[in-house]
Formats: sequence, structure tokens, C-alpha cells
Amino acid sequence: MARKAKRDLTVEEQLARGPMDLPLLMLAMLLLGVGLIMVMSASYATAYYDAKTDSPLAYAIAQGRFALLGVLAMYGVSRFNYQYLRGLSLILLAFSVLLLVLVLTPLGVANKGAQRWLHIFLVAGPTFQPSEIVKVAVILFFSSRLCVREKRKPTKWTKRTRLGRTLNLMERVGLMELLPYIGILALIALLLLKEPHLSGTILVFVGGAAVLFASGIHWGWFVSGITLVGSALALVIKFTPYMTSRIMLWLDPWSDALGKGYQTIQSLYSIGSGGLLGRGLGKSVQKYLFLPEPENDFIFSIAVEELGFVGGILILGLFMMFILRGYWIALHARDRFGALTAVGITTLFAVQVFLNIGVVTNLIPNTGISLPFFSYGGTALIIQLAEVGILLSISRQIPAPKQD
Amino acid sequence: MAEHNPRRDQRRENASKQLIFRRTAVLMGLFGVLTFSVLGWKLWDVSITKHEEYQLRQLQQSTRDVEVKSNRGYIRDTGGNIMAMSATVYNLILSPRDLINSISERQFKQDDGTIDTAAREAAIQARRDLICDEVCTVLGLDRDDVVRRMNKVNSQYEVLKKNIEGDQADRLQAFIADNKLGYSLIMTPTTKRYYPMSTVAAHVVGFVNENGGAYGVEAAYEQLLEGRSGRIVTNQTGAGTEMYNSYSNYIDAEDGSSITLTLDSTIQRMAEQTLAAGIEKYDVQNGGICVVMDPKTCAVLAMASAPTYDLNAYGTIYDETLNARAAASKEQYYQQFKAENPTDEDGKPLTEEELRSKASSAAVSAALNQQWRNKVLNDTYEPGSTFKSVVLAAALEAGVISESDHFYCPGYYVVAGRTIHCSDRQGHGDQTLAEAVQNSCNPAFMMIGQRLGAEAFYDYFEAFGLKDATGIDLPGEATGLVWSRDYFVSPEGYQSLATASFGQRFTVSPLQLLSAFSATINGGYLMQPYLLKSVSDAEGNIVLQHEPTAIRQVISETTSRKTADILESVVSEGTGRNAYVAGYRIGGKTGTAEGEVGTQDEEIVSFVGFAPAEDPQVIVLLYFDTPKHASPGSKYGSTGYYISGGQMAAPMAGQLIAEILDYLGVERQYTQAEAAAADVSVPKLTGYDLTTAQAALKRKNLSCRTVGNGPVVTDQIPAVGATIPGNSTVILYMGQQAPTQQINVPNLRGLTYDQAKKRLNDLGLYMRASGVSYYSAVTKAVDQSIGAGELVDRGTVIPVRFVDTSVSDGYSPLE
Repeated sequence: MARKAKRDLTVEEQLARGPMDLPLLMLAMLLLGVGLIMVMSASYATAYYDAKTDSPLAYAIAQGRFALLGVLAMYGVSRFNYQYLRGLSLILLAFSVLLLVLVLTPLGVANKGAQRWLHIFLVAGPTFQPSEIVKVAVILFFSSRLCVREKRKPTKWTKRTRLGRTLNLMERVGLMELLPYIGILALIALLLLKEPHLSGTILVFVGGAAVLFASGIHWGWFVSGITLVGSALALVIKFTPYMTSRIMLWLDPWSDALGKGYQTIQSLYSIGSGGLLGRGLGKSVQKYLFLPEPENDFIFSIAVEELGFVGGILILGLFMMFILRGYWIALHARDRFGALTAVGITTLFAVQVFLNIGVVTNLIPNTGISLPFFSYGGTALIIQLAEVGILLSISRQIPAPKQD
Repeated sequence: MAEHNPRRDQRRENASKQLIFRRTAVLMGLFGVLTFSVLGWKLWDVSITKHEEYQLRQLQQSTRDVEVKSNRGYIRDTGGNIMAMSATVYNLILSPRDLINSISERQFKQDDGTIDTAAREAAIQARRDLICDEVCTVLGLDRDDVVRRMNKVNSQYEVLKKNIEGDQADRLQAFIADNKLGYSLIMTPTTKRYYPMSTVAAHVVGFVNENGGAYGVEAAYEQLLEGRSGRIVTNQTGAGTEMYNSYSNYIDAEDGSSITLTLDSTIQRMAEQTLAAGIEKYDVQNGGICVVMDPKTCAVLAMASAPTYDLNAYGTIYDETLNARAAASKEQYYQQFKAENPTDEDGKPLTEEELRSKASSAAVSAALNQQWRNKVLNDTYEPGSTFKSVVLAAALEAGVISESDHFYCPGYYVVAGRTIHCSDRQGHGDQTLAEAVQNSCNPAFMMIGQRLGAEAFYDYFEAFGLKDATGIDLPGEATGLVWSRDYFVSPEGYQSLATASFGQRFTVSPLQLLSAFSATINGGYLMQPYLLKSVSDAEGNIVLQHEPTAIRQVISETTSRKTADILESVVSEGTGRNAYVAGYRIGGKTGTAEGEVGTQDEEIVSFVGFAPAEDPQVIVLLYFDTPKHASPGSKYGSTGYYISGGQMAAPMAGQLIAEILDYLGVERQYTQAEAAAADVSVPKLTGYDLTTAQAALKRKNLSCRTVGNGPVVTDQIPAVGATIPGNSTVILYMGQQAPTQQINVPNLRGLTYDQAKKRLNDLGLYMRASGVSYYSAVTKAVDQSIGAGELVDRGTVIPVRFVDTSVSDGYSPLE
């Protein structure tokens, strides 16, 4: 039987056969590869001087293992027809919220004063952050609902009561449509801040907001939302000494060079001492117990110290192309659900990159967000690659260009 | 029907799709382009614009720069004997934190992955105990203190002991190696300065403190001795430990050069012994100095200053008198501080205890500063009559006097309406020039000064270098208080000329005087005194040989010759005659001067002597500061000696000069009279008849007396082969044996030469006299080498020292 031409396939057949987006895949693999090399280099000294690890390569080997698992997960997810996610998203969201609740029970694992982790098998196995899953769940759930928002029927309330009239007004301005999303975000924020996990909260909001924005929610809401958050933040900064000092520390890390400003200063030294071409791969000095957690949040500093401004710009360039390709997939997605999901995931990646590199270059105050594909951390890496898998899955269903 | 309108639905869907497209494009611009542009700009700002600033700061925090001390050079005396050397010693440093880290948790990992904390703690404690035991046993440290420091678990640097030497260091190093403790117990090498001769030439050698050479040659040649420190530059981790793959940069230390001095430690010891003996003998209150130089080059052969100290313990008061004085002055300081009512930094008044401790440290530090002073050049004094040699040489050179001139001394001299007395108030009467110098006659010298005139006098004063530092290679040289030329040559300065002529009312450093004195007798050359003989590098190659420096010729060789001759007569016949030593022609000049202007009973008695007079090899300045008076105003000291340079300094200096010349191998040349008194060996006389025996003795320049009436000599005293001074009387026993019982040595002190000789001869003992050139009724025995009351065999020779008590060169107050 002759192989059928692509245009003769049914939709289902196309789904099974569609090519995944190679540029995105290659960019993700490149970032993963460079990230693994940097983890090896950056963690070497930490592992060497840490009596608890058996080999200076301990971190690199562990990360490599997770990367392998992650690539497998990515491939698996990319083969999965994302259309099923429309229905699964609610279950996923409910499941992830349940995990967030579990984190707060004694099953949760605490580290450095924050209870953010769960064991994979609840009582055993490696730990992971349920907040990672929540991010994806929120994006999927929001996308699955918002892709059909034009079909939503405005509810009409009685005009006789004041409440009814108010509700009608809210409906008219679109607030009623927003309320369920706000409710979900608020619930998750409550659970996350209880851990506490501010950076996770920010990212959940970013993912959700990106989907909401892309779906066509009136931009006024975003303007007012940003204004509200901005002014609230300004008040908090002005009136709580803790926040004031954090901002002062951001503006001048040297005001507490050996205390709270230490990490930022060491990061600047790392990046600054790299210069144009860097010290050479593996030749960082700052990773020798000067820069705390060089293999984690501050891995980009070590990368620039070793590879220089040129290396740093190349990594930034890879990320930029990756992000642009993600949006490209969103723009070309077969359906609105795919488009919104791709926007959410891509924006999530973009904001993580921005917040991480913004922090290590002291562009913004410290938030504690890791760098996708680079920072050491197994489960986060697997979930990131699974997210890439979703993007790839979406890319598979992009209609082939018409052949004239 | 409004319920379902496919066309409208399609339109709305399309509108929705377009909206999503537009919004996505906005996000794409925002997060795909804008944010990355901002990040790129910031990255440029940090890694390129601020690159140099951050790189420098980064370098500073990750570079460990360790200084490697160079070995300080040796200081040797002229014979190559080591006076100062450096040796490697070790500081023992404990790192309590690394001690804990050295017990790896990995070793205590149990099967379930947890760590057996208790077992690890036990292992840590065991290692701590091991170190504690060894360190306390070997170094004798306080165990509680070591334990306390060991418990500072965050510390990496606890210095347990400094300057560990030799066997202790070896044992500890072996201990560290055997037990693999190099990670937590570290011995860092450092150098320590040793002074093998401890007190010898302390003021010349000086010592080294934390800042390098502080005093003496150690300070003067700091640059040469110090060498250049090396550095080891390594990378360090954020924890302050060296990186395992550290890139190191070594700059080798350059060892210091070694210095050989002109100083001879043997002569130095002689000088110090002379000084110490004199201080004890005359009950000297403020110490003194003794300098020996080669007058032709002004190379310093010995330089002693008392009180002295031990270079190996320069921080403790060595001299007992000084120590006692420091203890006594504590109370004085305490009262002074109390009166000042001091407060501490917080403004609170000091407690009684704090005041006491402040007073105590002030007293000790004052005493230490005093003991470190090299009086030879750090202090100045009024030279007194020793300065007359300079005046004599200047006047002879200027031609205003000649050897045939006569000076009349009535006991005083009137200058500008003021009567100035001579030390001999009776007056010396008519004197030749030589006699005037021998008598140290002040009126004669006032006349000489006037003949010279103030201008010329001042010219010579300057020419002899008395207004300038000598330029010796030691730090802190002082110059004295001298009138300005304008004042000196003016009518108001007329009396100054008079007093200057006999060395009073101005001050110079002893070294200035000695170099000027040398110029008067060495052919007229003012030389720059020096200590540096040669410099050799670390390998021992001589890199610099120091040559003597002549500053200028002040007087002619002829004048110098004349001056030396006259000064020799001072010792052979004048006030310096107590410095006389048979066989050596010693020249010199005594001096007695006020210690401090305006004080009572505080004289400096001094003597400058040189020998041999015809070709001076050594010149010695010896002075004692403030011999204690027997009673206030008395001219005699508490130990019975007349207080004057001639009576106190001259005898000591004379002996010292003879000792030095003997050591240097300068042969004694006896005059006829001296030769007669020289030792001879007693021939065998027994068995001969009296006439034969007498003839044999005569040939030996000996006489005899007989005991008994036998025909032949049956016994003799002293025995055959004994050496006794010429002109002695041998006892011949005719027909009987010499008595064998021992004899009590009599006390000879205060007897004249003849009395002492007779007293001893009567007992069958012999006298070897020394000290003066000729003996008279005023020559009195002062010392006997075998003390009164000791039992000796018959025929024993008792050495006796005499001084001429008629030397009356005591201090004559101007007022």
C-alpha cells in the first residue's frame, strides 16, 4: 500500500505523523547541553570541598541522569496528543493543588526554613517541588477554558436588587469572567506563600497572566493590576524596614558586603572578572567557595566568568531564540488551546530567564529563581523538559503550509 | 435562532484567533526581544564596563600573598667570630576548625546513609587529646589553655607557641608527620636573631625588634643585613584555604649580606672587664665608657658602654644598679601620675592598680632606654683636661708656642677681671711647656689659648671636627653644645676662650673627642671613625672592603710628633704616670670634669691614652661617670681613691693598653732601669761557696743575704729556676735548711715602694712592682695580687701595684 500524501491523511493520522518543530528541539538540546557542562564546571569545587559527596563530579552525574530522564519525558510528552490535555487539565490542577496541600502537612520536606518539597513516593524517593507542576497545570487549565471564551454566555442577573445590578455591572466590564481565574490564583498563592515560596507564586501568576492576556482579556485589567501591585509594593517597601533594607541592598550591595550583600557582590565579581572572553571553561575562581551555590541560582555568573561576555551573550542568544521559537509555535498553533498553552509555557520560560539573569547581574533585587536548563535540580529539569515536550506536541499539529 | 448562528460563530472565532495572535505578538516583543535587550545591556555593563574594577576586587579576595622572610646576615668581629646570627625557629599554629574537618564524615557513614555522629565526635576528641598531650609534654604549655583554644571550633589560627627551636621543633615535626596532622597542626618557619656573645659589645651590635634593626650595627646596616623578603602568591578559596590546584608564583627571598666589623671581641672583652672593674673599684654611679681605636684609621677595636645589657634579652634590665634604680623610681612616677590625675579612654579616673602598673612600665621603659644608650656617641660630656691635647697641638701648629716656652703658674689666672684657679691652688710655679702639660696646668693653658686667639682657636676647634658628627656608622650620633663663633670671638666670649682652653664649659661626644685626639698624635689626620670592615654576600664572597676615610689633615706630621712626645711625658712623668706600664711607651692625658654643669660631686674622670708613643697602635678613652664621694664635698671617693682622671682612669687604662698591646703582639721594649727590674730566673746555688754564689747572683743582677755560718750554700730561697724581679735579694742558707712553713702574706696597701719591698723581703717573699714609672715617697701600693692573710711558700713573688698619689689633677670648680 502506497504511502498516503500528507494532505490525504485524516486529522488523527496527521497528529500521529506530524513532524515536531526541529528548531525548538535543537535549541532546547543545545541549552541543555551547555547547561550540563556548566553544572559540571560550576559544581566541581563545591563537590570537591563538600565532605558529604563522594566525587567532585557528583552533581554533574546526578544532573546528567535527570537530563536523560527529562529528555525521555520530553519525547514522551511530545508524542502525546495535547488535545487530551483540555480535559486532563482540570484533573491536573486539582491534583497539583492537592500536592500543595500535602506539602504543608508533615509529609512536606523543609530546607533552609521553607517547606516546599515532597518525596516522589510521598515518603521516599527524590524530592520535587509541587509548585513546578502547579505552574503547568494553571497554564493548561486557563488555556483550556479561555480558548473558548467567545462561546461564554454572559449571565444576566436580576436588576431589581442592588446586588444584582452590581453583578450585572461587573459582568459588563468583564470582571465576572475573571473571577474564577482570580479565585484559582488566589488559592494557589495562599498555599504557596504558606510554604513560603514567593518566587513560585510569582511564576504561577506570570504563567496565568500570560494566558489571560493572550486570550484577549481587556488590557485595562492588566494595566490596573500592574498599577495596583506596583503601588502596593511601593507602600510595603516604604513602610516595612525589612523591604526597605532589601531595596537598599539592591542599590548598594556593599552596604553589607559580608552579610546580605555577599551573594550579589560575589556574583558581580564573577561576571565582572570574566571580561570579554572569560577565564576559560573550568577556570572559574569564584566557584571556589566564594560564590554561594554556584551550580544553582548563580550558575550564569560562573558561565560568564569562564566564557566571558561573548559566552554570556551566546547563552542569552540561545534563550532568546528558544523563546521566540516558542512564541512562533504559539502564533502558528493549530488551535487556540495550543496557542494559549504555548504562550503560557514560553512566557514562563522567558520570565524565569529574565528574573534569574536579572538577579545575578543585580538588575533586579534577589528573588531566588533558577535558570531553566542550567541550574542544578533534577525534578525541575524534568518538568522543564516536559514543558518543552508540550510545546513540541503543539508544534506537531501545526498545519503544513499550503503547497501552491 | 440567535442561539446558533454558524457564520457569526465563525466570525467570532476568527476575531478571537486574531486577538490571540496580536496579543501573542505583543508578548513576543516584550519577552522575546525587550527583556533580552535589557539583559544584554546589563551583561555588557557588568562584564565589560566594570570589568577592571570587579576583576581587581575579585583578585584581591582570592589571592593569598605570603611573605617569605629572608635570612638576616651575620655580624662578625674582625676575627670572624659570630656576634649576631639568625636561625630558623617555628611557630606552632593550631586550626581547631580544620581539626574537626580532618575527621571526614564519610568514614562514619553507616549502611543506611546516616552518619554515626557519636563515633565521629569520639574520634575528634581522641585526636584533640593526642595533640594536647604531645604539645603540653614537649612545650610545657598550660593544658587548660590549650583545651580552651581547641574548643574555638570556628578558629583556624591559634598560635600555641612562638619561636620553637631545635629538638622541640624536630620532635613536633616528627609528631605531625607520624600522625598525619599537617592539616590542623602547622609549624610555620620564621627566623630568630641570636647573639652568641650576649653582652659583649651590646651597644655596638644592637638588636632587632619587630620593625627590623633597632639599635647599633643592626640598625645602621639594616638594608644590607635584612636582605629582601620573598613572596609566595597563591590562590585561595572563599574559606581561606589554599586551592588544591592553586597556581603559585614564587619570588625567592634574597638573604641578607653579612658584615664583618673592625671590632675585636677579645679587645672588647678586655675593655668591658676594665670598665666593669673600675666601676666596682671606684663605686661609680652612672657607668662609663671605654673605647679602643686604631688612631691611624679610627677603626673601632672596642667600644664599651656601661650599663650594658644582654642582647638575647634586650627587654630586661640587665644591670643591677639600673634595676634597683628603676624599682626606686616607680614610686616617683606613681606620685607624678597621681598628681596628673589621668583618666582612661572612657574618661574614668585610673584605679590605684592601673596607676601602679602605669608607673611601673614607665620606670622600666626609662631604664631600658638608658641601658640601650651607647654613651660613646649618643651622649655628650664636658671633656675637661683631655681636651688640652687638642689645644696643645693647635697652638704648636699655629706656631704661637714652642717646646722651649716657659709658663708661670701662681695657682690662678685672671681673665677679664675674673680669677680662675688651677687645680693645684699652690701653683705650679715656673714650668716648661712639657711640664705645663704634665701638670695639666690650667693657667698655662689659658695663656696658650690667649696666644692662639679666639678666631684661630675656633678654627682649630672646627678643623678637629668637634662641631660635626664624626660620621661613624652607628645611628643616633650626638654633637655637643658649643658656643657660636660670633659669641666666641666677641669680647663677651673672652672667658669662654679661657675655659675652653682647659676643656670646660662646652660638650662633645666622647667619640668626637677621641677622633680629635687621634688627629693630634697620628700625623695630623682627622679620620672618620668606623666599624664596618667588610661586607660579604650570602655565599661568603666579600663584596665590599671598607677603607678608612680621612676627613682632613688638621696639623702637620711634625706638630703631631711633638704633641705625642709631650703627651708621652705626661705618662712617664706627669699626671698620667699611673698609666705607666714597663716596656710600653704610653702617652696620654687625664681629665676630670663636671658630669653635668651645675651639679655637685658628680665628676667624670677620664683618661685618653695611646701606645706605643712613637708609632701609636691603639688609642683608648676610658671614663667613669660619677664615682661616689666619701662624703659630700670630699675630694676622695667612697672606696678611698682620690677622685681624678689621673688616680682612677689612668691606672685602669694603662693596664688595659698593655693588655691590648700584649694581645696584638707588640713587643715590649724596656729602658735600662726597667730591664734591671725585669724578671730573672734564680740559678742553682747550693753546693757552692759564698763567693761563687755571690758572683753567680751578680751576673743575674741579684743580691743576697745569708743565714748561718757554714762554708757552702746548703739551701736557697727561692728555689732553682724560680723567676723573681731583678734587684731582688736571694736568701742563702749556709749549713742549714730553709724553713718550710708557709708565710702569711702581709697587707701592703698604703706602703711606699721601699717599705713594701722590705716588709716582704723580711718574710722571705719577693715583690714584683708595677703601675708607675718611678717610685717616690708618694708612690703607694694600692693592689696586691695575692691578698693579705693568704698563706704562701717562702720565695713566692707577690705582684704589687702602685699609684702615685701626688697626682693632683682633681676637678677645680670655676666658681
